[in-house]
Amino acid sequence: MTLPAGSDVEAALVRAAGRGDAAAWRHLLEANAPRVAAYVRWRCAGLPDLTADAIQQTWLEAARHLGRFDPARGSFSDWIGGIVRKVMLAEVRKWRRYRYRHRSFDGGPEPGRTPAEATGEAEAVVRALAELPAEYEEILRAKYLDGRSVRDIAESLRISPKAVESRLTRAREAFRTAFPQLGVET
Amino acid sequence: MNGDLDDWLAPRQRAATEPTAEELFAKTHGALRCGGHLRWLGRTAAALAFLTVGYGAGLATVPTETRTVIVEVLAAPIPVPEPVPPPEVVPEPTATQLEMRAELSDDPVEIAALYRRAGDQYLNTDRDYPRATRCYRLHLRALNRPNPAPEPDDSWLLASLKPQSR
Repeated sequence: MTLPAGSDVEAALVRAAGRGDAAAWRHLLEANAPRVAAYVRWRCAGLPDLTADAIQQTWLEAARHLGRFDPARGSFSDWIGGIVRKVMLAEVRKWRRYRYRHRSFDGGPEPGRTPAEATGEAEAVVRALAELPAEYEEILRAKYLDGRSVRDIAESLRISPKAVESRLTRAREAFRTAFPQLGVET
Repeated sequence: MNGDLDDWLAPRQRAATEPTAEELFAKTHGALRCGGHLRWLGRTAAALAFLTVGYGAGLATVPTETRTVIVEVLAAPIPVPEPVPPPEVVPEPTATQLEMRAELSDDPVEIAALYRRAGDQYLNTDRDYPRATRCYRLHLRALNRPNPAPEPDDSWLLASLKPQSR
């Protein structure tokens, strides 16, 4: 099930769901759930429990604040992407607060690696992505999660391909900078 | 750090613990309706608060001047009788005035009556016997009756003059 992002149909669905229309909300949820789940999974570095909690929290926040969605400011997908970022920030803060009580977000080890090694690196990715500026996180997402080409990203962001490559380079450097500092210390 | 950056930023496989769309709908639909109701309640509460504050502000700013209560009493008009002017008292003409009116009148009967009244006044009021006598004689002359007989209401002077006028 797909909905044209930013279309009048999508805006009408959001309005109907905001009035409590269950069918409209189900349609919105089913149309956007796979993409939202993929994004959350990417932001959670594949940590399963954190991913499950973040997905549920994201849709819960969306349901509570659906009235704040403004179709004139972007698509529903973009709006819920913002909610994912806020949810992830909250999760990371929560993790920092209780890091000694809850040692890890959970997650199974990859073949040939100990559980502690795999979990520690995944947590570092989560924290590194949460620390990145929004424009860096956005371009890394477009490149690595969505698999879009530089030309495609340039068209959607309305900047030149050269500017996209430059921004990608800076984003990678920022991620590399954040990753070892956050990951190794644990 | 193990692994390459491209590996860590690559898309992840779906985990079995992730909620399905149906499960998400079941868990969020209540919040959706609750959120709608809460928004409605919030708007209603805000409107009530606004009205309450406005009403309170209105009460606070009402000038404390004493209110003037105008009580209009409707009463049926009581008819007041028009004061009846006292009857105009026409003063009794004097003997002289009566004698003057007799001289100006052309009616013999009226002339006789006026001289009679003038003679009576001169006699009874003024005690002026000569003028009374003169008026009585003019009276008898105006009557122009031969041998006028004395009447019961004749004064003593008129009664005495009637035999002399024959």
